[in-house]
Amino acid sequence: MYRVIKYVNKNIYKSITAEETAEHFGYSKWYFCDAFKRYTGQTFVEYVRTMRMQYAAIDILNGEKILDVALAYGYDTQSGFNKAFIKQFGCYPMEYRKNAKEAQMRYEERKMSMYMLSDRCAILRDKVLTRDMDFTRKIALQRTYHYAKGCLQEGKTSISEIYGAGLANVILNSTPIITEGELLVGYNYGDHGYEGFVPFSNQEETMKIMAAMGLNDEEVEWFRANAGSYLRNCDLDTSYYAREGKEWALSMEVSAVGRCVTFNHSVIGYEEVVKYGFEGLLERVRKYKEINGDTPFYRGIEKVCLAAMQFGDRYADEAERMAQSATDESWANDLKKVAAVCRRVPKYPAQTFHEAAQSLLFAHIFNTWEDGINANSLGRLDQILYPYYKNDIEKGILTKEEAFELICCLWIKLYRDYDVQQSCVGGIKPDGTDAVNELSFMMLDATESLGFVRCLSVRYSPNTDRAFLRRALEVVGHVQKGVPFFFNDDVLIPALVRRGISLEDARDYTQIGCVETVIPGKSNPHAVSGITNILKALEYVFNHGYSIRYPELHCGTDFGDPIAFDYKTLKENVFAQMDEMLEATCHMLTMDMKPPRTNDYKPIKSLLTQGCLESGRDFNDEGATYDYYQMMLCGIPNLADSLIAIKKLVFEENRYTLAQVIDAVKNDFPDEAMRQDMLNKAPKFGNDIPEVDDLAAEIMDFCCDRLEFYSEKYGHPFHPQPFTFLDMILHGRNTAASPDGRKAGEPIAYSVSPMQGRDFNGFTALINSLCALPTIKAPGSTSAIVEVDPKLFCDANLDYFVDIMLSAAKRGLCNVQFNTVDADTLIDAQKHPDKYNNLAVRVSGFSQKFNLLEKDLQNHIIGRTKHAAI
Amino acid sequence: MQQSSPYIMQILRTSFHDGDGLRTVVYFKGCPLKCIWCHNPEGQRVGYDVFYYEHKCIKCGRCLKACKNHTVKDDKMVFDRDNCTMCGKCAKECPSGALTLCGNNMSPEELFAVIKRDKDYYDRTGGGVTFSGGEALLYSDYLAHVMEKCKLEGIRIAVESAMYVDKTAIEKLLPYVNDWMVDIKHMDDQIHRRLTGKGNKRILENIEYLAKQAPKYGATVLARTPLIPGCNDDMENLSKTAQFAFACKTRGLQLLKYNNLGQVKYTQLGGEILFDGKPQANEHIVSLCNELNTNLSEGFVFFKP
Repeated sequence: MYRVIKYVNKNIYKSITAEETAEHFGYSKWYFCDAFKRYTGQTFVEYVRTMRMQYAAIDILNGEKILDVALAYGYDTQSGFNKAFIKQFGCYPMEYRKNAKEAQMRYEERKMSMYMLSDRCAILRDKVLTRDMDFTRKIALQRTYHYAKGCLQEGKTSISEIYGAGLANVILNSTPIITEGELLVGYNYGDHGYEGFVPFSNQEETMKIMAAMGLNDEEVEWFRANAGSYLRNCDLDTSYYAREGKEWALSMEVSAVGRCVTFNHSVIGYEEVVKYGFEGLLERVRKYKEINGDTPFYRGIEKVCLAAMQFGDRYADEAERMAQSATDESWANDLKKVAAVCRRVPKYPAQTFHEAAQSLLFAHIFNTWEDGINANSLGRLDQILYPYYKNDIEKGILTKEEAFELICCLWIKLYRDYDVQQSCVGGIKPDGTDAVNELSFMMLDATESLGFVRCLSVRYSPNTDRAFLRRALEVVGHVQKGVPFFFNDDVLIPALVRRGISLEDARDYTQIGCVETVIPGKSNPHAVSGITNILKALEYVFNHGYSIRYPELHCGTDFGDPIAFDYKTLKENVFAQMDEMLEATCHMLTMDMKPPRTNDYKPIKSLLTQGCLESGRDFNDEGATYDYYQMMLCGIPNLADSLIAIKKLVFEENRYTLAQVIDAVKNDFPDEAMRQDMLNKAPKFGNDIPEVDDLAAEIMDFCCDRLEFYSEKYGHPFHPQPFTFLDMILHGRNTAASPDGRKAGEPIAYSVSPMQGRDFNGFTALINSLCALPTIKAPGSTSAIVEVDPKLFCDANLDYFVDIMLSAAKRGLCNVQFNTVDADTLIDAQKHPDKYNNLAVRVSGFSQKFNLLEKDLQNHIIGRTKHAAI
Repeated sequence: MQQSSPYIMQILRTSFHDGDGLRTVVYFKGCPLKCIWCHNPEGQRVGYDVFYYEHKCIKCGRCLKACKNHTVKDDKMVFDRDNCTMCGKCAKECPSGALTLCGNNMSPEELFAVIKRDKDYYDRTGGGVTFSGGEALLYSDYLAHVMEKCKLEGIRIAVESAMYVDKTAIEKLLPYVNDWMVDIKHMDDQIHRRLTGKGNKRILENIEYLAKQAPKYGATVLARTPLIPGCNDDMENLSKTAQFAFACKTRGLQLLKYNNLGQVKYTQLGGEILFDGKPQANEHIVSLCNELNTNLSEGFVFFKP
C-alpha cells in the first residue's frame, strides 16, 4: 500500500482513477478500494482530492496564478477549484495567499521542528497496519510452550527456580525473527488477538496449547500437578469470600467489591539493563547471594540473567546469516549494524543510542514474557534514552533524523506487539528541574507522524514549558485518538509524598498501562488490584443489606427501614456502607497476600526492582522498596448525583417521597417521567455547581481517608485511585437503577468523568468540577475523559487549551484524556439524544447544545463535521 | 426611570468568540429593536419565554394537568401560546426539559459568582466577560453593579450592543467597559425603521458619543454590521457605514456573515419566521472588505470567516 501511495502522489497532476491504479498494481478494483480505505482512512477519491489540494496550496504559496493552478489540477473553472479549496482549507485561495507569508513561516517552522517519516518507517508502518507481520499460530504459541517446557525440565526444585527456568527457556529457545527494514529487533510472539499470550488465566486452554505444541500426556499431567499454583485462575475466581457473616462475591460479575490482576505488571528498571547489561546485573545478583545466602530466589534470577546474556548473540547470528543472503545492499548493511548492536546488548552496557533502544526493547520483551500481561509499561523513555542520544549527537555518530527513525521503529514495535503499554514524556527530574528534552518532542513527533501509539502520557505542571504542552495538545488534535494523556505533577508528586514515598522518587513517577502511578524500578504497585463500586452502597442501604440486582446476595448491613430516613441519616448510612465495602476490599487483598499466593514469583521483575535483591525477597513477596496496592474507586459521580437528586426532589421540593424513590430504584423506574425528573431537575456533577461538586469531593475524601485508615490497620499501603478501568460497563451491569436517573444495568460513569451527557456548562465548568475533587489524596491518579469537539483543537484555539490546562493544573486537576468527537458520534447523538447532553456545537453566531437542535439542523452540523474531517 | 430586574437568557461559558481570549458571555433578554432576521428571537422580549423542543417530549401528559393551554391533538401536544402568561408552570412540571422556561432572574451577586468561576482562565488568556443580548444596556443599573464587582476582581469587560438606548446608560457604564462592540444595521433611517422597527438616529448619535468618550477610559469601540441579504449588503449602504465608522474613529468595522440557523428557534417559540435569505459567500464578503478599504485604511473593514 505504501507503494500505491507513492504512485498516487507521483501522478497527482494526472486525472487518476481507482480503476487504473488498481490495474497498475494488479488488484481487483473493489479489493483495492477497500484496502485503500482501510489503510488511509479515506476513499481513493477523497485521498486524491485532499492530496491535490495540498499540492495546489503549495503552488499558490509559491505565487502561481490561481487560475493556472486550478487548471493544472484538473479543474475547469476557478470557482470549482475555489469550492474544493474552501472545503479543505476553510478559506479562499486568495485569502490563503494573503496570509502567505505567515503560512510560509508556519510551514517552515513545522518542517524545521518536525521530522518526516522515513521510507523505511513508512513501509514498516504499512506492514504493521495491514498485519503483514503476523506470525503463524505455532510461532505465536512459542512462549507458552517453552515456558512450560522450561518449568518441566527444571523438575521439583523450588518454585523460584522453576519459574526462573521457565522464563530462561523461552529466552534461550524462542525463534529469532527479523523483519525486512527494521532496525530494532525482537518479538514477544503474541499476535493481535493475544492468542497464547495470557494462557495462565485459563488452565484448560493452556493444557490444550501445550498438547498441541508437542508435549505428551504424561508431561502435561506432570505440569498440571507441579506448577499448578502458577496456573491458578486468578482472574476468574468465582468463589465467595465470607466475612463477618456476609458474602462478598469475589467475582465482580455480581459484587461491589473485587480484585483484578494484582500480582503482575509494573514499570521495572529497564534503565539498569541499558546501563549495566545482564552481565553487570548477574554480578549484582551474585554479590547479594554472597551477602544473604544461596537461596532459590537468587538461583532463579541467575538462570534468567544467564539466558538473557546469550539472547543478543542469537539475534546477531540471525542478522549475519540474513546479511549474507540479502540481495539489497542497504538492507545487508542495516543487518550488519543490527548484528553489531545485538552482539553487545543486552549482555553489556549500551554505548550508543541505538544500543540503548535495543537493550531496552529486549528487557521489555523478557518482562512481558514473564507474566504475559500486555500492560507492562516502559516508563520515562525520554529520560532513559536521553544521555545516549546526547552523547551520540555530540560525538557526531548519530544524526537527529536517525534518532527519530529509531524512535519510530520502537513505536512500531510497541504497536505491533503490545496493547496498553505506556510510555511517558516530560515532567521533572528527581532533582526537581525540568525534564523536557529534545527526545520528549521527538517522541510526540513520532506519534503524530505514525498516526498511532497505543498509550503515551505527558507529565506537566503549571511550570511546564508552554511550547511542550502546546505541542502535546496539538498531537491530540492531529492524531485524534485521545493520545497523549495528561498528568499533573503538582498533584501526583505531593500525593505520593503524602503516602511515604521520598520526594526524589515521587518526582520520578510514571504510568503503567492505563493511568496507574508507579515509581519505575522501585515499586510493586499492584495495579488495578482492589476495586470498589461505591454506588452499590446506596443499593444495599435501600434493600436492608441485600443486593437488588441479585436478591440472594447478602453483602451489606441492614441499617433499618430506609423509608423512615431523613437526608442526614440516609447519607450517614450510605457512608457507613461505603466504609464497610472499602474494608472488605482491603481485607480481601490482605488475605490474597498470604501464602500460597506469594508463591507467584517473578524473577525478572525482582531483578529489576530496587529492594528485591537487597532483601532477598521476591517482587511479589514485598521485596520492592515501595509495595502498595492501588484501590480503584468506581461510581463517585453517580453516587453524588444520586444523593443530590434525593436531597433536592425528596427533602427540599417534596416532589417525591423516599419510599417512591426506593420503589423506582427497585423496579427500574417504571415511570419514565419520574426518571426524567431525577435526571433533569437536580444538579449534576461536572457543571461547576458547588453543591454537587462538593458532595462528590466529600465522598472521594471519605473513601481516601478510610483507605488510609485501613492501610494502618492491615499494614499495607492502599493507594486510592478513582478510576474505573473498563469496569464501568461491568459494574453498571450489576448495579440496580440509581436515583440519578440511571437505568438498571446501564454503565456507571467513567472514573470521575461526569456521567455521559450530564455536563452542559462548558469545558471550563467541567474542568472546575474535576478540580474540586481532593485529587491530592489519590496517589493512584484521579482519572477523567473529557470530550471535546475536534474543531476546538484547531491551531487558533490551541493556546487557550494550553492556558486552561496550566490554570487547571494549579488548582488540582490530576489526569485528563481528551476524546475528540467525530461525525459518527454526532450521528449516534441524534439517535440517543439524552446520552449526549454535553455535546454543544457552535451553530454560527451562537452555540447550542446538539440535542436541542432540530433534526435538519443536526444533519447540517453532521455534514459540517464530516466536512471538517476531510 | 426604574429599571426592571433583568432576565438572563443564557450564560455561555468557555466561548472562544465574542471578544478576546476565553470568555463567559451573558445574554440578557429584552431588546427595543425587532430585527426581522434576529437569530436570537428569545432575546427580544423582556420577561420569560417558553421553548418547546418537540423531540424531547416523552408525552407524559403532565403539562396538560398543569395548564389548560396544553392539549393533545393527533397524539401530539398542542400549545396554545395566545393565552400563555409565561407562568412557567408547564416547564416546572415537564420532566424531560421539552418545555423549558427561558429567562433567569439572578441577583448581581449571583451572576458575578458565575462569572468569577472562570477568572483564572480569563487571566491567562486575556479573556473576560461579555455582556450581550438582547440589549444588555437596558439594565445599566444592574450591569454597573456587576461590572463594579468585575472591575474590583480585575476581570476584563466587553459589551455587545445595538445602541438603541438612553445615553445615560452608556455614560453610566463607560468607566467599566474595556471593549465595546456596537452594531450598525443600516445607515438610512427609513430603511432601518422598516428592518428593525426603530429609526437609526439615536443609534448613530450614541455611537458617535461613545467613540468620542471611550478613549478617555482606555476603551476600544468596534463597529459591526451583520450582512443581511438584500437588506443592507448593498455597496452604497456599506460604504456609508464604513465611512461613518471610520469618521467616528472606531477601531474598525467587522462584517458579520448572515446565517439563517436561528430560524429553528422561531418554531420552538411558537412564532413565525419573518425573514429568509441565502448567506453570502465568504469570498464575496472578503471582496466587499477590500473594496470598502480602498478609500479607507487597509484592514479597517474586515471579516473573519
